[in-house]
Amino acid sequence: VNSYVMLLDLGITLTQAFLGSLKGNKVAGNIDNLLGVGQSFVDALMAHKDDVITKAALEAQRG
Amino acid sequence: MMFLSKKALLVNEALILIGVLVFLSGCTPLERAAYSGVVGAKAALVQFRSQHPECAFDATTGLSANVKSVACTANNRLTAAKDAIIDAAEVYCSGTTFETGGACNPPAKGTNAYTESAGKLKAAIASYNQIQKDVAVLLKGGAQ
Repeated sequence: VNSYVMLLDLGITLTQAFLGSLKGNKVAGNIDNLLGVGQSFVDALMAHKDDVITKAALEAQRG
Repeated sequence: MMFLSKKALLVNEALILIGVLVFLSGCTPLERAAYSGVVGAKAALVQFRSQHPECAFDATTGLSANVKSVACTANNRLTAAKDAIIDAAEVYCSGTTFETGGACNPPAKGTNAYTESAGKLKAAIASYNQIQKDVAVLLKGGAQ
């Protein structure tokens, strides 16, 4: 379990590092807004990582 | 007996974890990759929409009738591309258990159904990625 948590932590760190590297110019500023920079994006991935992929789960992501 | 320093152990551990991550990302089932993509895209789009009230996004479709604003049209293009992934994923997953509320039930590998539906799902994901790149360029001058 600890290894799994560490794995997730590292995944989040790498994602945030990648997204963070986009900061610092106007393009990055917009991408930053668009992707939510490791906040909504990563939070959502973590929240749904164990979802069973059903039709209802997919439909919930529509729109 | 050799002892490694604490720092060397940490570096070693990090390298192992990175290796595992790379391994896992290469082994992610197609439906999981598609699902993670739409989940991430939806979350980012919802946040993006909250920053652009001028687009008056439809609460159900997430689309905007405002075609003059770069931000609104960027949202529309990304939303349509994301929903195309969902359409393709539903075809790919559409075995009997999936249609009755069960988990994704893709066709057996090696069958024509698998080749065709997996190809369409991969194409939908590739299309979304391309549109995201295009939108990033569109937004270069600032979302208006």
